[in-house]
Amino acid sequence: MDEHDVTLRGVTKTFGGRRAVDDVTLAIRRGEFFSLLGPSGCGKTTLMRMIAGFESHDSGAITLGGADMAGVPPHRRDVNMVFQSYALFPHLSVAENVAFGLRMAKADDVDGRVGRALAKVNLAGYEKRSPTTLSGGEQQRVALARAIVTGPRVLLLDEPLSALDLKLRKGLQAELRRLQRELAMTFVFVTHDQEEALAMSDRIAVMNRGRVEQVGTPEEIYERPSTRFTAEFVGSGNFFEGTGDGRTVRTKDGLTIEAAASGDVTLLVRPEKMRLNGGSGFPARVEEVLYQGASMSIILKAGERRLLVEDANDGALARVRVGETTTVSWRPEDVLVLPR
Amino acid sequence: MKGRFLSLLLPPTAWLVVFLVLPTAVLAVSAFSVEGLKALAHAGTWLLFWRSFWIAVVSTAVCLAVSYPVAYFIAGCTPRWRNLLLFLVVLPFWTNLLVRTYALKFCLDPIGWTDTGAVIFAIVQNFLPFMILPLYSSIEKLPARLLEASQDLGASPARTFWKVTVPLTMPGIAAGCILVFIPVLGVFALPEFINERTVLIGSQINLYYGQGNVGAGSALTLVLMVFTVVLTWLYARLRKSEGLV
Repeated sequence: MDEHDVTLRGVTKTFGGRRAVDDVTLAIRRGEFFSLLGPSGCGKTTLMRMIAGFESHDSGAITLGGADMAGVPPHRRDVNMVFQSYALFPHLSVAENVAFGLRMAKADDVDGRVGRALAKVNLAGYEKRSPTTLSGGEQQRVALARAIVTGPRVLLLDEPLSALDLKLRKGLQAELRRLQRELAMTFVFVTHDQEEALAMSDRIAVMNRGRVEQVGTPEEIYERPSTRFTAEFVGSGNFFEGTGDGRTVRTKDGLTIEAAASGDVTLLVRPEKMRLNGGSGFPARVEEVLYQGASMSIILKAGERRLLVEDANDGALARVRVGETTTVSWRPEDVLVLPR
Repeated sequence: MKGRFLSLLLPPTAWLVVFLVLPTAVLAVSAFSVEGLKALAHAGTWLLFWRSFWIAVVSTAVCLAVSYPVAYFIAGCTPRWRNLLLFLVVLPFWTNLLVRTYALKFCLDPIGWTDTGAVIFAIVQNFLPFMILPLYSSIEKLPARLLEASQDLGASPARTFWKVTVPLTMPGIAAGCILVFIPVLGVFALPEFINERTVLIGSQINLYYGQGNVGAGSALTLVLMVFTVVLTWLYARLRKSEGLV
């Protein structure tokens, strides 16, 4: 199973002297839910638009299903895109929107295929409606149906959920994932929402300033970030910069932390791995308690340093009071070592 | 409250009555006169109507064909260039119509181009801005994402143009066509300047009034007005049925 639907080799794109995409190499497997994750301006959208053919690449190579895409216009590429703004045709009905790609391909059984695609996104019976009368979530489903109906090799999704409210977004996340499994289609999903990427993806490429920082499964990205950027962008964390001697790391403010690292390193402990009142550990004062329903965030002050602790709201932390002194500890295996 | 509302309505109502309803009534009354009916019974009058009609149709079509690429190009420029080019489009309006027409005549006469084609050329040249401006404003509003979506779904640039760009800029096309067609239908002076034998309905009306034949002039004007109103009404119905309003 080493079949790749999309490969990018050393792809670079410059806009007005600035490298929007800088030497990106990626291989996206067939049938995989692949996310491009990064802050705005990191090049993820540009990268996707290059796969779709709306932007050309300055150097490097892009292949789709093994075929080189240099100079191939968008309408000859076997990829469809779901736009952030949906981009439904306002002069066409829902059914005609979905049928658009089929008509361009002069496909048979247009009505039947449109009906089945709409049923797949739970919009059966919406055929005659105008897209302008639909809610944001419904428009999103039409856009999805329109993009999958022709059965493209790859579906590109440009932050398709970002315009929707939280509840709807959660529902559509699960639905998108189900759809992708059912269709066994390769999805390339662009998002700046790390939770969304972690929840939905088979693999994630974290991007920063036009470069790929790390590629891996959601677990790998979260549990074993290879750079500080990834560690900071995905989830939150407590960082300790210091010098290691192979067994312990000493920070500038005098903490000694058990970690098998040598040289200048950054240590990361995720907030949910930290424990309060464990007996041993670093002394700290509770500065703020943020109640979040299912979980609690506690901000500690240890010397000049602020630490973030998160825990499930199981009652154990309910007794923590602002201003009181406590100790904070963690297991040595929960310390991640990042290069500096 | 109600009294205040009515008092606000008074000035525009008075305006319409004095400058539209009354003149139209006077026009209608004088049209239904012996001279008026005589003019309408004359076969030559209808020939003039027919000639005016097809010249207006051809001029509008040529205007549309020439203006669409121009408007499309301007809409695609950077804002700075856009403003400059739009300024150039309306620049001819700074010159008097007669001056412009004379200038055109001095260009056309030496090369001997004075037939109906030259008349249409002159009309198109004069009315182009009325087509370019509404086209520009609707093309400029066209979201680029929709064109991308179309190509993404397998439509070549040409098919994207016919399937997405044209339908979505239909309001601009229709507005431009009305703005050109209606005045061209009643155009006078301009055609005779290029070719004195090209008499259109507008010139004939001018001629009748000039001769003091108010009845005949009014009858022709009334027919022209009714025709224009019917066309505009048909267009409004068409747009409504297409759900574009």
